[in-house]
Amino acid sequence: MSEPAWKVDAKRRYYVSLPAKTKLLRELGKDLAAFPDDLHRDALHSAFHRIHGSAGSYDCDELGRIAAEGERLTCEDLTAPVLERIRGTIDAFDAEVQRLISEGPETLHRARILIVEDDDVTATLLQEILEREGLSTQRAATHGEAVAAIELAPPQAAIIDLTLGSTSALDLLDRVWPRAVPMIVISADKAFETKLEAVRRGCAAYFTKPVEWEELVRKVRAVLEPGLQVRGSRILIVEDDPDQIAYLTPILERAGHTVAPCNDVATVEERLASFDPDLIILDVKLPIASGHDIARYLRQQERYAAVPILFLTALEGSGVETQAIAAGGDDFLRKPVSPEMLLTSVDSRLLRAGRLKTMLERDPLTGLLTHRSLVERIANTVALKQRNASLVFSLVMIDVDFFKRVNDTYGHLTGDHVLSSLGSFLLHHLRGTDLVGRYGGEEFGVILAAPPEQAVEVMRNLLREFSAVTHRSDDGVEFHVSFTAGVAGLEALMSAEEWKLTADRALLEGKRAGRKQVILAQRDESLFDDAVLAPLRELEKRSGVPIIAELTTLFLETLPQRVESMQRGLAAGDAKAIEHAAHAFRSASGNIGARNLAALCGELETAAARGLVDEALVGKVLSESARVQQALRV
Amino acid sequence: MRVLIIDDEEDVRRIAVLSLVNVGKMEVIEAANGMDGVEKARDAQPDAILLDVMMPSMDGPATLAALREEESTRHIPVVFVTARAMSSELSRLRSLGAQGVLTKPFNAMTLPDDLRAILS
Repeated sequence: MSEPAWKVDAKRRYYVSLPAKTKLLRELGKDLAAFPDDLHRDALHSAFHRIHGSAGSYDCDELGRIAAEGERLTCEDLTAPVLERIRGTIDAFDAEVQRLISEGPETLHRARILIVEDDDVTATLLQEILEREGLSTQRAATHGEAVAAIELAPPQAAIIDLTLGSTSALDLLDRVWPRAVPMIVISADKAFETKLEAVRRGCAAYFTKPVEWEELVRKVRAVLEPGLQVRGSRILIVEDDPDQIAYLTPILERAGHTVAPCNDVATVEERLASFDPDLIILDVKLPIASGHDIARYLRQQERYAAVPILFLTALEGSGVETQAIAAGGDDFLRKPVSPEMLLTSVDSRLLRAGRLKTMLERDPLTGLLTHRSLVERIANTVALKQRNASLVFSLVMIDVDFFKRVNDTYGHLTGDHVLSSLGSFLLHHLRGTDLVGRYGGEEFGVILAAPPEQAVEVMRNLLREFSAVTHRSDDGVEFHVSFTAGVAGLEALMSAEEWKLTADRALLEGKRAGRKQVILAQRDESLFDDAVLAPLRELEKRSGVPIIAELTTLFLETLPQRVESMQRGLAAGDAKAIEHAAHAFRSASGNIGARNLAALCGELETAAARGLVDEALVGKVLSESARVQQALRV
Repeated sequence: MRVLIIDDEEDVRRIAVLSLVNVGKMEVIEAANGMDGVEKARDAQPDAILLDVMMPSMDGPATLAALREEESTRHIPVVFVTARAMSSELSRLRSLGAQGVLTKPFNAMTLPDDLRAILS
């Protein structure tokens, strides 16, 4: 008996998601083994719980049984044998996933991704990455091959290099699009026009080389999951002629937009509220009210005052334009509208409204400064300070805590909701004079016209409030998210880069200290931590022993030996040796209050304990130790 | 009050000794490794032991186990000393049977009181 298509489809998607689930369980399991506390226990427990709940629906009964076992085990006392059994359960889960994927019925074959790429190195790398994610891949090196492959059996998605040899593959997008295969474009071409062109031709995402692979994989997963396709902008068409709607809708949809028609003026307001469009196309000549009347009305509503409006008109005459603009329209289109004209007008209006730009970055956080504008504002602020030293500014760098886990656990749609909620939260809770931007990923930047101590105060309040906000995933699971922030005051003679780095360093410090906190940056020149040195000075007085001098001598004496053992460990690629050297070095630098050095050694120790030989990090430790050495010799 | 500090790092011992003696008015015995530590604990019968977690060859947990095995040292309260301040690490160390955990670097002026607070 064959299953209905929707079920096969749902199963296929579930199978595709299984490797990611295994990965998550593995990570959570490792965390729990390292830190067997309730926090980590709960994380793993609820991951098992969710899988237990869903596996049955996709006929993966054995998988559900294993998850139930994991669910049960994570409730027990976390003794060593129990932790061992939990690990065994995750192994069993992994094995079952492998079995399901390899032995799954033919109809459940893994999602197939077509890679259209003429460069062998890139293609092979892509295939490896995607296959590691449990996807199957197929390669086409030319246009012809790609078209043939798609005609034969449409893949679930296609990754297309826009520059195949010397020719552009834009035409290929036109050939692929009618087959309803989601297209992800990678290209060396960073020109905005090209991106626009590709988006117009229906690509779901545009990556410029060098490609962020993790981001690309996320995007591939997003297009494979239903309801997660890149949504372009939302366009409401108010038009009483069904033929017009039928003509306009596919053109806009193909360009990646979501379209809602409204053919009854009486329901416009309702449609606006439920659809929340980014742009409105209004027919001028409508029954009951004219398009102009509607536009005037909309412009009076705060909520819709900034939404671009395009008028559609069949009327001839020179007065049309003036009338349209006077009514608050942004542009008008004369019927019949050519697809090019329609898209050009729509895109340029959206661009002006600042929406398309964020859409290309797959970032629906409207209202926030983009990365580039934020960097510009930081530079402007520094210039301002140079002209007028009495001005006070603070830069806050904010990072959402465990954001990757939110994405992995609840899906990136929910992750995006979290980001946009933090964005609007910051926007609404800070003053109009403060600038808020999204720096990239889950990182935000805020420039406040306030001294750093005050900025810290403000951010701590915001952190408290934001952490109390309840987020909800698609399946109704409630959760909370916090952030970590680093604050740096702008000092005279500081460059934009230094300012940013100082705030970043404070952010990093906050993350190291366990996240969910706001850290005020210590000035860079303070190599030594007064919290350590002050008691030592006091002890010197009390004991009459020159302890700081003693410690300094000891530190300097042992330094060459420490440096050597670290270098030896590095040369031998011996993580264990590096770990021990870093540990001892960390303790020694901590004792003389060399805070940065101790922190770097701690970072190195942690990395080495995980088996990593991080040459760059060793380099950082050595150069910081040289600074400390120099300071101590003076 | 007599305290034994077992730590392979000279600077750590130096700070602890100066602080416990001068500020805390305590008597302090030093050991640079776990083996020596167990021996000194047996001979000197201290009131408390400060024990470094990460030492070469015989580490803190192993030393603690050895102390607990010996009839004559079983009763002596042990306080771990570690540079890792994560709460999960602290609870792991406590679960091994130590009285408490002190984090490095020490506050040289409050170390004696911090130790007393853990022991009381």
